[in-house]
Amino acid sequence: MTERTFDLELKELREKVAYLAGITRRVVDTSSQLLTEQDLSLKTEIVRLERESDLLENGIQDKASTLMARYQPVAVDLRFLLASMNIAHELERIPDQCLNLVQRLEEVRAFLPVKLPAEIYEMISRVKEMLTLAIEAYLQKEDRLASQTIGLDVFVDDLKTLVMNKYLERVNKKEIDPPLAVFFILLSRHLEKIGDLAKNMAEEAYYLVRGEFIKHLLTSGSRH
Amino acid sequence: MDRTDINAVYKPKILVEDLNLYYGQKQVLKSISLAIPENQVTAIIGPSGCGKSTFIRALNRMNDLIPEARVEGKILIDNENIYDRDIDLVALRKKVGMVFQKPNPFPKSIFDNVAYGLTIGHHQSKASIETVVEKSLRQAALWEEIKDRLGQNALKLSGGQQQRLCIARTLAVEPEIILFDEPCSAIDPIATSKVEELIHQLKKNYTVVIVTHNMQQAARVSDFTAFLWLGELIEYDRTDKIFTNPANKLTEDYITGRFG
Repeated sequence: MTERTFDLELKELREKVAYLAGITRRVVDTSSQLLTEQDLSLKTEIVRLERESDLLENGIQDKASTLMARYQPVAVDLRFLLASMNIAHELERIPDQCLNLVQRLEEVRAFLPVKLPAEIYEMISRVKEMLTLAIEAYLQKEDRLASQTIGLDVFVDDLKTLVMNKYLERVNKKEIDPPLAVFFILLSRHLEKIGDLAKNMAEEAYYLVRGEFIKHLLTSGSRH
Repeated sequence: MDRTDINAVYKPKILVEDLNLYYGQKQVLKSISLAIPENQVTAIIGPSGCGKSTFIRALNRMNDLIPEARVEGKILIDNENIYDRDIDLVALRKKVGMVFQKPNPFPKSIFDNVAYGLTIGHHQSKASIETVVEKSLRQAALWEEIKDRLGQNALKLSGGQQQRLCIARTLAVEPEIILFDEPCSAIDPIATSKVEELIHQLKKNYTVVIVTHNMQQAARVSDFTAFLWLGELIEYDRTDKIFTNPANKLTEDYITGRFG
């Protein structure tokens, strides 16, 4: 039996979200390279990808809303469309945070090169992992991967708090130039925000698979 | 959701207990148990031949008209088993009104169609009948459209108007339960929308059970949905649950059109 038109449409939508996820992942990778190598020439590529992600998100929202109007889906199909729309929205917001990272690096241009704290490297690694897991949770319809993503968010939050406390203390002790301390703290905040967005995506993937809303149910204090 | 869960929140109007129904040797309904809540709309969905219409017709013993039909189990309406020997069938069908797939007005005037049930075996005054006819037509959201032509033959009304006339005719005898057997399958989308809106209004005063092939209609109008398949009750739950996250794979395959 040939595949139904609606199933083909859903598959096409999934591919569009997967493509947007790929772009988002590239923005995160390029941004982490920009930070670690402190190479501001990579900004051009990040800006280009951010614009592309905006357009891709529009296309996904348009297609999903059209499918809703035309097919009036229910159950797993409805959940898939809702999750796709929400995940696309979160994916599009990640490059915005990456642009913030670029801006922070530009602001400390006079201090470059600077040695990034180990916690920042750890955060970069964790948010990349979260992003990969959240995307796979959606694409593979795997609630287990979604739960893993949500669990990692706690560590990213803790790392942000660690960076903040550590560098405020060092400023108080006059062990670091305040602009550099602010730079590290803001980097940690933007990275933590990317983690939050990946967590939101994971919650959408969980809803897609299990049909349960878990947003706001898990506090940042809960460990998985 | 089982009967106990629904009973905990809603007062059941109809309790179906282990209902089995046979046409000759063929079993059409298999051990169905469910509680239909009062002043709620309950939709019965399922593929053709699953027993939806048979089930709804069992609720006012319309299947009695089929000679080879045989029923086991109980259907309690207000705690009275409608399959008891001494049940008054006329009183039952007055209490449990029915609206059919195709509008079936009598070849009489609009007024006489609605007044028909009031004039059988009753001796009501003309004024009293007129009051009930107007009230019923208003409840059926038809009064404003036909109030100036009550003497006109009902067959001249549009399909949608004829269906609302049939609803008014049902309402006139003051039922407590209204059964709708695919009430919109023969009318256009605008008329369908009017009937659906009417069903929303009716549940304030009546318990409504609707059989529909139209999944979106079940999702729009009902509070509870029962999914039947091959005469078995596969899933029964709140409509919002059934249409967003059904518990049973068979239900999901049916409502998403991936059946078979």
